[in-house]
Amino acid sequence: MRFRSLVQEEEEEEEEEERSRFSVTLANHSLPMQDMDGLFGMYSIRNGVPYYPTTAAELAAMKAKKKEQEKKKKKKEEEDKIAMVTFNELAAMPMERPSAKQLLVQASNIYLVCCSCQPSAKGINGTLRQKYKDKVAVLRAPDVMELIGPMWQTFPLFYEVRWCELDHIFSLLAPCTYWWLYLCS
Amino acid sequence: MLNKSHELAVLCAIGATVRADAKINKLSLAHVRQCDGFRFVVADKLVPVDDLLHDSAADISLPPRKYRCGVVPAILYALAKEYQRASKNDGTAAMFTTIVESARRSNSPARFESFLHAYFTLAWGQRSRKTLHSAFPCLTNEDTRLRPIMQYCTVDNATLGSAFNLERDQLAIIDSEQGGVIDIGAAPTSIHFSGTGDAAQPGFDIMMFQPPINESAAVLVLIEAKYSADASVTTRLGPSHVKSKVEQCVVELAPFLPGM
Repeated sequence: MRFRSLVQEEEEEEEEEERSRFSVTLANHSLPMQDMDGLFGMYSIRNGVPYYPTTAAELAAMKAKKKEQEKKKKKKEEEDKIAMVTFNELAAMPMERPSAKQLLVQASNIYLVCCSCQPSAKGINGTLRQKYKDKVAVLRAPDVMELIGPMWQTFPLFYEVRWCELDHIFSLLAPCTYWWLYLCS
Repeated sequence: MLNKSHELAVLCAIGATVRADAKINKLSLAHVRQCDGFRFVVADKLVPVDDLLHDSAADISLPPRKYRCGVVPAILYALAKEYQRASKNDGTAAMFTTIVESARRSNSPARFESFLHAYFTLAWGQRSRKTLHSAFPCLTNEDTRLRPIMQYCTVDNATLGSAFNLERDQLAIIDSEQGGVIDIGAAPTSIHFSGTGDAAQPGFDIMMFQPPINESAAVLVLIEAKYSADASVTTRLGPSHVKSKVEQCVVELAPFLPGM
């Protein structure tokens, strides 16, 4: 019996403590906002913005760290400067140690081919050859037709190319037609 | 017959030039020419590619030495569909379908790009297109040997910079159509950078990359498709147009080149 009464007493005490804790919490909630600083003591609020109070030494260390970060950033920006280069310049550049995100190809083995269905000058490849050291060329419309062969030439996709060729013939014949029209008139 | 010989189908699709006495998968050309559906054109007068040059026009009376391979495209298309049905997709079936479907439409720059991608993917390193010069006749004096393309993909609305990813420390690209990841350095690869509709793609349209192996260095060919959708346009392609493309290509490529 004595034992049971002791247990009961302990339970009652705990209940009492809990009630008092609850009342404190309620009281805290009813406190105005500025007293929150005093309650937790973790941070301060200035003009509604929370901040951590720092000593002069800490502040100096933070400033030095920030300066160092800015220096590093500036140095990296200078190193990563993007420069426009031509294919010729690329070809002249020596190979360096490749990283993972790189195509393992020498600049001298890179080619650009323009496959054209538009009319182009016959001598265009001569000009490009001189300028880009044989690395850039135009596959002219007649060459495209020749490459793909007679099977594909008759398809609608290449009607226009064939029409351009016909157009070229008409332009060559144009003086004759003018002469014929002159005679008829 | 195309079903039996995969190489014959590819050679017909690319219009390859082969010698009259050549054999394709143990089939003699004379035997193939007798079958229905094939279109073999005498190629003695055409510009020969890999094999020996034809001596002179005086030999025309002699039996033809070279033929240009060809087949009725509908047969090629049916073959591609049959490959797909039988899940016998070795990569070329999709290219057969693409090349036929692209050629069927007129006035479409996007279709021209698709056609070129399919054509060069099939042709790269095949018989009569074994060197860089034979695959791209405008690249004179380039005898670099080519190996057949093993992987290809089409990437929608992307440039080189946005399409390339690092997968397990390897440079890779994600295929828009099949959803897989392609390791660029593993095998010869072709990539089609497809634009939105008929809008121009910045840089280049097709990239063909052959990684290095022991005896040969890597090769990278960038292809720009120039197609005028408007038949009335009379602008001629000049060096100034090419110059702007070269600049764009350099800007696109530079971040991925060693030493840059």
